[in-house]
Amino acid sequence: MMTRKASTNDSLVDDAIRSVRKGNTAAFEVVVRQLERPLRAWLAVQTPPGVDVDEVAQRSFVAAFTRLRDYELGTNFAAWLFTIARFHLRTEVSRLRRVADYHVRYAPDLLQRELERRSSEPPDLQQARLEHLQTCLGRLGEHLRRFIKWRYAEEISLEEMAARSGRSVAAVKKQLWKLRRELYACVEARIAAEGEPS
Amino acid sequence: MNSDERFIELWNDYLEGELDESGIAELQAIVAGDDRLLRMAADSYQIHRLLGLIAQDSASRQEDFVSATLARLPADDAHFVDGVMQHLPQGSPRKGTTVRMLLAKWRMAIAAAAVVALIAGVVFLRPKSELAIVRITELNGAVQWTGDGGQVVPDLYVGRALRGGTLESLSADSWADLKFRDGSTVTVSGQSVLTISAHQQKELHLRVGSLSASVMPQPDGKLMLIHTPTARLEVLGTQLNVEAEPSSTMLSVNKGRVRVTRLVDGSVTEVPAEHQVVASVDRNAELKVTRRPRPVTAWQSDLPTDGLYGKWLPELGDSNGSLGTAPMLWGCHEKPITLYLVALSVSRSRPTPVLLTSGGKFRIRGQIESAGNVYFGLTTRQVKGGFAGKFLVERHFNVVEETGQFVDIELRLEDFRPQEKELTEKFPDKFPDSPIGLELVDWWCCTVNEDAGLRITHVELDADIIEPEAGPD
Repeated sequence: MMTRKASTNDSLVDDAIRSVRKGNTAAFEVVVRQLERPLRAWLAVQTPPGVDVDEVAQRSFVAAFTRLRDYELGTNFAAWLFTIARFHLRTEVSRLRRVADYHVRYAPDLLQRELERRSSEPPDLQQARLEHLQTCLGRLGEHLRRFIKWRYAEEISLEEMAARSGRSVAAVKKQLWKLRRELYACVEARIAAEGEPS
Repeated sequence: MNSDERFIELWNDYLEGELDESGIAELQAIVAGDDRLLRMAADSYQIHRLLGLIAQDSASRQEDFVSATLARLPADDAHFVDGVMQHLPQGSPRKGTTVRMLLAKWRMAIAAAAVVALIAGVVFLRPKSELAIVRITELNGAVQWTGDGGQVVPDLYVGRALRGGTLESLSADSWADLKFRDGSTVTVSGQSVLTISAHQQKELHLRVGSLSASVMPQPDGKLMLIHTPTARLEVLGTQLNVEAEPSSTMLSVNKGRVRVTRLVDGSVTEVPAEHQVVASVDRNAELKVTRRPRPVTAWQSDLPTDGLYGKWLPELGDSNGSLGTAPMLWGCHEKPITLYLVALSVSRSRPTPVLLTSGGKFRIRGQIESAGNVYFGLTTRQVKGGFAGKFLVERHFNVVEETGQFVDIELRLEDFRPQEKELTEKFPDKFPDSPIGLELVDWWCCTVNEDAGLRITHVELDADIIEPEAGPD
């Protein structure tokens, strides 16, 4: 498996943890600021519909804080935090499975299982995907990027997108599908290129 | 259509939240027989989620997350609260705010107080939740949530997901924007109480107050239902505004069509776009749908009928009476804020839209007993549209009039500024930087933490220009 450079500043996090252990609990803010983005990115792609990503992320930080004495300095706090997050995510997904009509209303069971299978991927891979996705988005032409902007930033309806672009709703749906596929291919190509020896 | 094409169609609908239960079952069956499609679905889903994350990514979003996380940490001593909050920037967390000029002074105290309450155990008693129904997309002022078995949550923040429960907008200057999973949005404003549930369909119970909704097309047989004390509204997909009181409901439909049942006698009518209806408890009154009247540019208060909040004082000097401020306590924390507030409805005595136009002035007659700052505010909505924000202007009174003497105040519309400037910068189309061109919903004034003995006898809006010619006949 390829190794990636840490996307967070490990020594900064460990310094903050030392400070927290000495009683300066406010220093935990440094930990949250350093790791909230990678953790939310990882959770975003692992969680099936119906799970509140921010809620799981916050619970994970709180759990890490309360068990801070169990963490061994210098052994990669991010990895330790992600282990806690994985546990919290599984708990939440298990709870959802017990909601009687969850699969019928929200998520095909097989999708959920495929996401679970992928949850063993290294967490920093998702952070890298997020960064590559931003690059790939920047390379889209404005006439295509506007669909992403409408759908995800402005969150307007498909009908509104169709009206703005002068296309049918069905054509807009296909355009979004195509864009997601293209962005996925772009991200994976960049990940693969990163893993190749220079 | 081959299975790939059908998969793409279903999958797109799924990601758009438009796939019904039978569609989900069909999608499940298709991917069950094809690992390639299952992987494709998961790839697409993960990119979809990351795109959502990128779209939401902003400095304020990060601040919201960090402050909300820190607020949930258990404390081991009182220094923790101060320490954490001193590290947070002044502008965050973007929680509810009241009169903005005050807020800089009070925000830290409010935030710290909220944390103290949380540390006392509120958060850690959180019972297991059900699936989120709505998410808070914007928030201002004193707003609290009661959900999960009666748990009261005063520390709401933008981005917070909510399950079934009751949202209370507690003050004239407070409001909240909520977004459902399908993109439908609801705004409650002023003193409003809204219960939200979504079992088989979206159901809202507006016990009292103002609500604006932009409802996405709903699945057949699963219309959005809005219940008020006097009416039941069935909404297929529309933009509407509702004002509910114990004895009447005023519905204005801007787009689409809404079916209204008057509860007192079960009479039913349909309200098309650009029409309105009042459903009251008076069974002898006609449930009459009328075209929305042309907006007017002048308005006069009719006291005490228009009073939404305040204390009616039957006589004041030579006037027939006045509406005095009544205290409203915000928060049950260490340093609560008390607003001494008067609020007036603009539509209660006359259901005609009031358009705010350039050159317009508010003239207010009343009395104030002690020097200090008074904040004057407006709630607005777009013409034929939804909530458009609140606007404020501050006036300082140096000279205290002798008891019994009136003060006349004139406020130009051009002097009112958005209550939440950052929202105007972020969404200028939805929250304009001036009230001019918007419709007036309600009017209020208040002092903060000091009862200045403020009483209002009359408020009027004068416009320099003549009534607009545009608009329905």
